[in-house]
Amino acid sequence: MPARVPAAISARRRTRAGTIWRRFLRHRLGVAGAVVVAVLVTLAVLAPAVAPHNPFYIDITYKFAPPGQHGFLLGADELGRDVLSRLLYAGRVSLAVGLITAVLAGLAGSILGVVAGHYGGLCDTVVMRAADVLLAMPTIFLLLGLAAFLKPNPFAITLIIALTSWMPVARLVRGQILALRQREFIDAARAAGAPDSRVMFRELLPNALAPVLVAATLTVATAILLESSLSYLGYGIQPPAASWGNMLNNAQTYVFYAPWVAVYPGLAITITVLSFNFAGDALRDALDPRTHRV
Amino acid sequence: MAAYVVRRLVQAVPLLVGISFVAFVILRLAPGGPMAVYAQNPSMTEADLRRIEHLLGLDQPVHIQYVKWAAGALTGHLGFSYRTGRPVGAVILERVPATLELMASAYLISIVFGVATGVISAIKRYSVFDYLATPAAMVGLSTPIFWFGLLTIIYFAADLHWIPSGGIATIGAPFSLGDRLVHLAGPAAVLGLYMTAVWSRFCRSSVLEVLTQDYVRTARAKGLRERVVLMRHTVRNALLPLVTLAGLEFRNMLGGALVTETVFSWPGVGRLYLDSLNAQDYSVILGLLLMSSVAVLAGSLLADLLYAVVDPRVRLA
Repeated sequence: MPARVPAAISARRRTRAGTIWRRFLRHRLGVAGAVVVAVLVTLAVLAPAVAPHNPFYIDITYKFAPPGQHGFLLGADELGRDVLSRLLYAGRVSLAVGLITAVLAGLAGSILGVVAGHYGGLCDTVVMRAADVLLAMPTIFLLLGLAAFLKPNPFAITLIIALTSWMPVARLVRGQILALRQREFIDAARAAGAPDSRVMFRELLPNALAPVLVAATLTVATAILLESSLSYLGYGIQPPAASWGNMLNNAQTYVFYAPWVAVYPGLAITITVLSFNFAGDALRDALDPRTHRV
Repeated sequence: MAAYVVRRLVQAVPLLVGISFVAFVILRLAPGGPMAVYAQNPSMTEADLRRIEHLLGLDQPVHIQYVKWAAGALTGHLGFSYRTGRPVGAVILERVPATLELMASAYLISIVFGVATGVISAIKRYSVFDYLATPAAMVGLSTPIFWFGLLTIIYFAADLHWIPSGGIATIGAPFSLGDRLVHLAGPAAVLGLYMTAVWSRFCRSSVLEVLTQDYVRTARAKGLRERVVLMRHTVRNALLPLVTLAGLEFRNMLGGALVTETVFSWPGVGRLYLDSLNAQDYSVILGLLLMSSVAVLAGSLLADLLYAVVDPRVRLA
């Protein structure tokens, strides 16, 4: 008898990744967010090719040229620089800071969380109390204090934002590890003679990775917000480099006669952060069928 | 209850030691340290600098300096401002009322609007209102506070002249409540936006969750009117965890207050912190880092105690 598979059964043969992908696609705002993120990253990467002007070229004869005039699509700033070109170049800095922060915070949080959860005892106490200390200090206060005394290059800014962002990931991972290490497959791994490092990073961590991925996506959003606040306050990315935050640095003084200089960079931040937040939300729903948030 | 409070306070001690240590270390990272301000002064000779260093105890080992400062902090003495020479505690305390005024108003505005939109979104799930309000809350969470502040100034101060562009009161004018409220409106609304979004999202999911509870089904089964089921049985219970959330978000609110105060020239502790950073006023920076953390810890303790009061099912142990 020829093996004929009924359609209903073959349709059920789905991979886990496929299921997650389909659930993600159902989340329309999440998909929109992911698409916008992809577009923004592409624009940032291609900034030198797509920017209509040199973002650093100063021509004060075009000071505060309004949007659409003299070839400045989004106007010119206080030094006559093209706002659109600066937005594109600033996007490279702001996105890079956000993405690298999320990777660093995700890695540090995962490693510290696994180690704390797995070893427990003093190790656990030290890591979790360190997290408590950092979680008790208002982030902006702490960041400003750190930034004021560092050489404010983009890498240092990224590092300190990561330093204040790893705690939620660590708590999350630790919680997962505490639940996971009771399970049989960990006993099995031990019985097979797996060393601690293998149990932690090959058995425990991969099973706790889904929430980390979600947290990391949302961390990109908060990191971009933090960087923009720091740069706005003058302690983040320093001129002449442009970031969306530092483009607003002096905006306060001329909002009355050149409001567009203040409007577009903030719009860029909001759209970017919103996209990462929507994508993160969709990812959470897609990865965790139990939290059926609707 | 008393035992619980005592235990929480005891638990806070190592945290405060950690916090003060982190704050102290940050300041030691400073290029040139606290002496940098004086070193820039052309009137100072090398001998003067050494004398000041000795006078301030900065020539002693770091751990000795830390212990001395911490011992002072325990007795409520945080040292003297490098900028004005006044006691740090007094410098900070005179800025506290303005920040409290701002934060309390922001909390009030956000609770009213956030809870209302969240509850309506949940009760009328999948309605047009819900489809607009839920993504709108996400926009609120994604908007940088300082930019929202700038937009508010552009539109309501520069274009419409409804509110002043900054400050806590008209300078030189005698006190008037109307004047104070007009100045408060902008910053309070700006700082409140973020929290409105937080409340709204939280209330929506909280109400939706309570709606699946057995006691709600029981209430419906025994024939109570829908309004009573929703208001008395659902919303009342769904709003209890708000107390905890208010405590958890206090830290973000304090950070938001710093940014808002800067945008609106509001004379609170956040602005004092930024001014002190710009002036390299180390003792005030250190004091503010410590005091703001104490406020965060106190806020979370208060929220936990309050939760036990509003929800009798919760027993503090």
